[in-house]
Amino acid sequence: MMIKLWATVKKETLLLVRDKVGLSILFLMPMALILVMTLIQDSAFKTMNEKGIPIVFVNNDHDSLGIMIEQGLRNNDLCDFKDSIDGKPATTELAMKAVGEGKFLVGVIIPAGATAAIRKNVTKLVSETLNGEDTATEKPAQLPDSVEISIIIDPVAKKSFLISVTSNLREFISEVKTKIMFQTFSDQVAEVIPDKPIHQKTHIKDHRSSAIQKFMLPKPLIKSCPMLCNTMFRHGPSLPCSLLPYRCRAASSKKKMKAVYSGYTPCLLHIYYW
Amino acid sequence: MSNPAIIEIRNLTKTFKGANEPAVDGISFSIKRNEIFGLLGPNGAGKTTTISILCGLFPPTGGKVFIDGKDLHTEMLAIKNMIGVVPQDIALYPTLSARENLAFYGSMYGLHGKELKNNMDIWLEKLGLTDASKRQVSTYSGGMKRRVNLIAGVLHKPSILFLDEPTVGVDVQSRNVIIECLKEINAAGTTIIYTSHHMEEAQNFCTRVSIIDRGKIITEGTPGELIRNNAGSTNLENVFLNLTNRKLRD
Ligand SMILES: Nc1ncnc2c1ncn2[C@@H]1O[C@H](COP(=O)(O)OP(=O)(O)O)[C@@H](O)[C@H]1O
Ligand SMILES: [Mg+2]
Repeated sequence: MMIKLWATVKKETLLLVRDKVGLSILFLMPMALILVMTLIQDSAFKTMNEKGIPIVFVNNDHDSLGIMIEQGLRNNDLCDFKDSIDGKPATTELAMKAVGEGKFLVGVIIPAGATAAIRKNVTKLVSETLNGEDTATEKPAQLPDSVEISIIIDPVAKKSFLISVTSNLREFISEVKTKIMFQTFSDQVAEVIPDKPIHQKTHIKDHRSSAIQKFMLPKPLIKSCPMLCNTMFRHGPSLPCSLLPYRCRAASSKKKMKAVYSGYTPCLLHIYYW
Repeated sequence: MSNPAIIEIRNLTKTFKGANEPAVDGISFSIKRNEIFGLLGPNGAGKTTTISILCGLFPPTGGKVFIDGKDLHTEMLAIKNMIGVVPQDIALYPTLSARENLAFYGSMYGLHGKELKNNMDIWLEKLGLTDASKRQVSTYSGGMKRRVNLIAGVLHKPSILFLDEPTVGVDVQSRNVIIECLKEINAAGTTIIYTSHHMEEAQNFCTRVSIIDRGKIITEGTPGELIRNNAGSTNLENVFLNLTNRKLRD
């Protein structure tokens, strides 16, 4: 029995040692694979690092939201920004086709009337809050005209890459939306309260500090970590709504409003529009 | 006392999976000790199938085989060590030398050490392979491969030797050496069962032949008997062509 086993082992070893092709497959192929993979990955990183992620941008909005997102993407070093495809201005169909063909890794499409829709919502929200209505009872779904920004991603892109791009874009877009909302908000407030006497400032300040104290985080903290606010309010959508009246009443001027709200607006955005 | 049969085959059939007709269709014959028995037939007659069943390579669909009084079906292990097989296709590792191949096959039959080496030396010398024995088999000619293939089956001195077309595709020199060696082995007491479609070789070599076609045995006897019994035949090839007719086979 041992003789047979030994003879078989000996034979197999000899066969393996003399099988040059088999041996090379056994040892060289993994090496070749590693080499090729390294080169491919290296060049993939290079194209990304040197040129940035190829992004095609379709602006059907032609208003604040579209323009601001465009500016942001243009100035972003990570993005290779294009708003035309083969010399033609990018349209939704062209962008989808181009991404499908692999000319771009990501396509961002801002729908027509996006800014208008946001303005409309903010206007409604502001007028309600300034009129002192209890918005906490109102459900987010009842707000009309949600804004849908489409992000097209090349299907061959890696899933992890896809996730990071979408989440970054989402964050960036929400930031831009916040700014628009703000502007609208401030304009609204300016309309509603055109000329407030300067002496009320003191009064309101007191009011604010006593009324809002328990809800408020120190301002620098709010400003420096909008993500924290996001998570805080994401889990309790009614919270910012109930806060809103206090805040509006607390503000005495356009500038003040902006300062108070800047830390919180992203969460409003997420809850009601996004 | 008459010579007892060493191989007894009764009503052997084999139908391969998916085949419409049996490859071996109810054949019966017996082979006596120390005979050189030729199983002759055209291509596809069922020679290899019969030999493979007799070696225990695969079981028959029906029928019985007794080798040296033992049932092949139940006592395969006991039978295995007394038989040697030289297959139709060269069963050698091309990247191993003749010696390495033979050492492996010899070990599979339980040979080792000095005995293995001595047997190898004797046979390599007999078949004119001593000089080439350390070269890889892939560098051998067809005749040399056939000869090594033969040694692999006889190294352990079997008492029954099955050879499936051992001389196919070799030159006259190799053929003669192989046949001479087989005669020598037979003279030393080994029963030989051999298949071929080379009639002249069979006529001179076999003590008894069976002609098989389409899985059935057509006729059986010594070459002399068959020639005599078939009017107008002067050699085994005439008999063969008369009995199996001249139509081409698959
Ligand atoms: N493994 C197999 N599977 C199916 N059919 C086979 C197999 N081996 C042989 N056959 C068929 O059985 C018949 C007999 O083949 P074989 O015994 O090899 O003939 P030969 O007399 O030429 O050695 C042939 O028709 C062949 O096609
Ligand atoms: Mg055959």
